[in-house]
Amino acid sequence: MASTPDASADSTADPILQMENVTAGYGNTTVLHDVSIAVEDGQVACLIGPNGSGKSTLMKSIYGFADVQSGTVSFRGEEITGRSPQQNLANGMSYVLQDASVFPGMSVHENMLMGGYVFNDDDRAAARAEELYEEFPVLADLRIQSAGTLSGGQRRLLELARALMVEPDVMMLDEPSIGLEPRFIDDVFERIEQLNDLGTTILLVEQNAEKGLSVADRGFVLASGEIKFTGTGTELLNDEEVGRLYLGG
Amino acid sequence: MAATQFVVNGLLVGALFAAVAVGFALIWGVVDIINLAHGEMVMLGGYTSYWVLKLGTGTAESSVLLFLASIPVAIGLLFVVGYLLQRTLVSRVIGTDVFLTLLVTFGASIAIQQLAIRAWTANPRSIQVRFAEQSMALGGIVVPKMKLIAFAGALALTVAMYVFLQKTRTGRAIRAVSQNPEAAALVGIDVEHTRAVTFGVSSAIAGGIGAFIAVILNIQPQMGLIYTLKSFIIVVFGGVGSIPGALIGGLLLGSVEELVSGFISSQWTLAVSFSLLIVLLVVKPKGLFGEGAEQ
Repeated sequence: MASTPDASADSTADPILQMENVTAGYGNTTVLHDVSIAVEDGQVACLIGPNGSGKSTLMKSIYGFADVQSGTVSFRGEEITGRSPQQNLANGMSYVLQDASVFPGMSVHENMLMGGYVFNDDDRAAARAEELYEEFPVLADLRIQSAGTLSGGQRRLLELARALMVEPDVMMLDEPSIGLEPRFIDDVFERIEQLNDLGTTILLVEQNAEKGLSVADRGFVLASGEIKFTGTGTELLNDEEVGRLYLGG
Repeated sequence: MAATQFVVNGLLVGALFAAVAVGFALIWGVVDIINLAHGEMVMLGGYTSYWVLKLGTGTAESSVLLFLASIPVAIGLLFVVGYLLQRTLVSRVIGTDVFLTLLVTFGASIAIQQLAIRAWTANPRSIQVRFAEQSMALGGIVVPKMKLIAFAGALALTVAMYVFLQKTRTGRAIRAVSQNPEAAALVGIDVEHTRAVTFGVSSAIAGGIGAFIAVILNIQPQMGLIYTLKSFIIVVFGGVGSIPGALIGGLLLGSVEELVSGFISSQWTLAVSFSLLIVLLVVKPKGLFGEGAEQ
């Protein structure tokens, strides 16, 4: 059975990423209320919930794009509440936004170099990009092409690869499948599982809740800015109430 | 022959307009601000060079090398002025109503002008650079040496900025902020700092050009407006966001103005320039080279 949040937010031993009683939003607007989640090292965690429930805000409050009004965020046991994206990237966390976040006037390769902007070292960024081209041969073929001319699927791959430039331990992906044709969706999810197999912890927001939960070790259901249910992916998939309310079952 | 002479004069001066306009275009493209105080950066650069020479040597007459040595001072100082202008003032209105951004930069422009009048009076000043021969003749065309140097300087500054934007890490960050500010923050770029650097770079180039203008024309606290207007014409003409467009627009504007003032009267130059702009906007609303996202 999936547990409700107050039945101990998550009694995992040593989470790599943790939010404790976080209330967050933008300026005077509060979107998240008293949210606690914990993601263990090496897990795929999936966040589901209706539109406007605060899923993106949750990721943004971890990454430093939203204002954490109270509570704490920690990464590898160290408090990172309110840290800038620069610091988080340097610490090994990266984030793929929901909306198109490539630089359309730059080539694929320049986009990759931008992913290594925090290295402060062009040679190191270029070397890392070469490593990634081996894993993403599609991008290698497109390296001099302007990112603005890529297809939706190619663009998503570029965003993923660019987020891998910093060799992240934790990757947050906001709706990686949105707007993609079905064959690209499977491709993206395959990538995500591959990354996870290589040891990257993944926090995922997914509109396609069944798809998301089916790859997840842990799932969280967010509604109206509050965590309503947590459990393993399978538990949430099989939970009657979750199914009725959030999976359209 | 007269027409050729006017065109040559126009190209020589036009390169200066172009370099000023390129900075104006950069701020417009990257920060999405029409900086009505851009002309004041030209003015301040001119005064910086003037005072460096006047206080350093006791006179505003200078050898060409000494004058050229004063330009990096103008460039450096105006970088700081531009950076701080963005950080303290303009950053407060970014993303708000365009009217508010115009008002703030217009206010800054007036404030800088008035302070300059207080400090240095409204009298025009200039730097005299002496040569054994002031001009040289090339196939019947008279080319003033100082204008040729200014032309080369303006081109060098424009090209340097272009290379800076294309090849350096900071240049890439500036382009990234221009194309997608949210994604720029995502990859760890300090967006506010980068915008301020953009203001600094634009102002620095305007300041360097101001130094040349102090030699080939003169400087005066209220001279800025005319450079802001010219920049506006050039940028709209060449296409917002296009550096090569601004360069060509500047050379063209210089030529048109010299032809008008040579054949008609110098009082007509702005009227003709703006009329051409209106015609162009009707015929080709995106400017000659504007594709929307050139840089």
